[in-house]
Amino acid sequence: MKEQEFQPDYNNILKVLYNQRPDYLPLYEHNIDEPFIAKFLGQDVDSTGKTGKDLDEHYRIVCNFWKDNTYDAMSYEAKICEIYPDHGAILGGRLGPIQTREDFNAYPWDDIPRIFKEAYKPHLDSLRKMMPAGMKAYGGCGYGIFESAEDLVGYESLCMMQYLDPDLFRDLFLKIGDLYEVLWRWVLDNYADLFVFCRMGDDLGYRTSTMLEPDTIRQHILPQHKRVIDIVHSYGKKFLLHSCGNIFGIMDDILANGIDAKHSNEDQIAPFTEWIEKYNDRIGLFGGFDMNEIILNPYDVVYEKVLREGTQFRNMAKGYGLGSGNSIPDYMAVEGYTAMIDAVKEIRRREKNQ
Amino acid sequence: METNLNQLYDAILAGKLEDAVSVTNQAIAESVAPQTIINDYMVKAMEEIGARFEAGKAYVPNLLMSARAMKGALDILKPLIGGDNKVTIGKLCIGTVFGDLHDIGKNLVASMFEGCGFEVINLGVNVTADKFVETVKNEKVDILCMSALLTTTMNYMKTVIDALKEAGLRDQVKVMVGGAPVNEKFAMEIGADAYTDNANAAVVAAKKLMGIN
Repeated sequence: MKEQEFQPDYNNILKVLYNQRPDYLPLYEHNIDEPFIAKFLGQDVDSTGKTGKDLDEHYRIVCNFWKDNTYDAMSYEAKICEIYPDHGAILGGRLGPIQTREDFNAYPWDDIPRIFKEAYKPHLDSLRKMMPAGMKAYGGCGYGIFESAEDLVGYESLCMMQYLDPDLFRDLFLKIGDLYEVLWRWVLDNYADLFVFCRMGDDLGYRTSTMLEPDTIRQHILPQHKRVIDIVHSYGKKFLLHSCGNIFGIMDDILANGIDAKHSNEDQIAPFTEWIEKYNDRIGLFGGFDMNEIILNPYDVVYEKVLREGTQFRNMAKGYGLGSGNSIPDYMAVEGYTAMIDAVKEIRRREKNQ
Repeated sequence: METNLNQLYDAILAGKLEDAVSVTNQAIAESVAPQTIINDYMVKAMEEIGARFEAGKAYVPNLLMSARAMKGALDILKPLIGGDNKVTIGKLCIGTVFGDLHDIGKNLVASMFEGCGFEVINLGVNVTADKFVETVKNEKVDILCMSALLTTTMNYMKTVIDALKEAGLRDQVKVMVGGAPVNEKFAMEIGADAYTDNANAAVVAAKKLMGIN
């Protein structure tokens, strides 16, 4: 029998943000890289330099990729770090443009909102135009408060700045918070209808601990998170935090900030069941499947694992959306990704037939 | 007044460069043997901060500040050490493997190695098997350390080990691996000598491989 065409319903995935059980198991990814979509579809998918009808066609292809793979909503972020003048330190190997108070004072902060709008307005307009019926985007402004500081300073310099120039360290985070407020308000003033919920990604941890001391994160980073969360809520939107790494030490503080859901998990840090047991009474959860498992294993292994554990997570959790623990990068195996999608379809089919 | 070298230990542990340099200069003026200053106070302070890090009682910024203080004091002592006295306890090279540009974790491990008395050749990121082999051959390193963040690039670690075998150098160097997707099982499968999941454990493992207690 021919498979019935999937009709996306963004209200289904939105239930996860209310920590309610969605009608059917929703799929979620933090991001799916364009080169992966190109590999999957066997055609060129690259928005670089595209405008007008070419950009519309690009987003038609991308939106349909998400829809055809049975997502209720798709990720879109206007990536703040990518438009910072002289950015790139977040990738490592170089210092960022701000190392001293003089650098901080001279940095063209006031130009960034204009650069941001010029860079992303065409994309947001095009995405809105091409969004399929029943679908919306989730995201908003890409990159988090800490990630912005990493990009502008460099991780190692940032670590030492808090001791060598604590006033600059404090002022940097306040300034980034001010900037985020302007950018997030612009996105929501102009494109709130495009987003089913909002998300900020800010990787605060690594395998064994947090990137900075927990007290430093509490004092300088989480208050700026709270500003973004409060803005998002003031527009009537729910807020999802994506944050990689071992952040259990600050999770209570993150929850106190008022997030509605959390994404990102790695098996080497904790099994996903631990996230459900610890936090699903208070927030919705997304993810569940370590990227490495999907990349390294053949179709059958991934399919069986997602079918078995996806069913378990769905039964254990209230609000839950299934996906990789991180994102789908260009080097993701197509067969592993396809196996995950197929297993979710099977979970939905079994539930429907019960 | 005689220098209290415990202040040097405390300065490095607290990551205070100026204090570490000041106490070291005083100790030199009082003719305290450099090896005593290094081995009995500086290295011990780095071991302590490493242990606290591994126990979750110290964080990356603390490690970096301690390593900075250690390096500042060590720079003063290095010119004073001659003859058969070695200022380092071993020589190693470290790099992120070909195809991978991530270096934050690798640099942190390199800083800890330096802080704990190793001479470190940091080869950077995107390092080819040829470069690793050339370094082992020309620099006579005791340990080769490889890092990878990506699931796809970690397989290149085996390529490097195979290249060492082909060049007839595998028996002359120990190989350590680390990085987010790497684990003990993978390390053993590709023929590495050790895997560690954090900077302090890497130092402990390196010392063990070299037979240092």
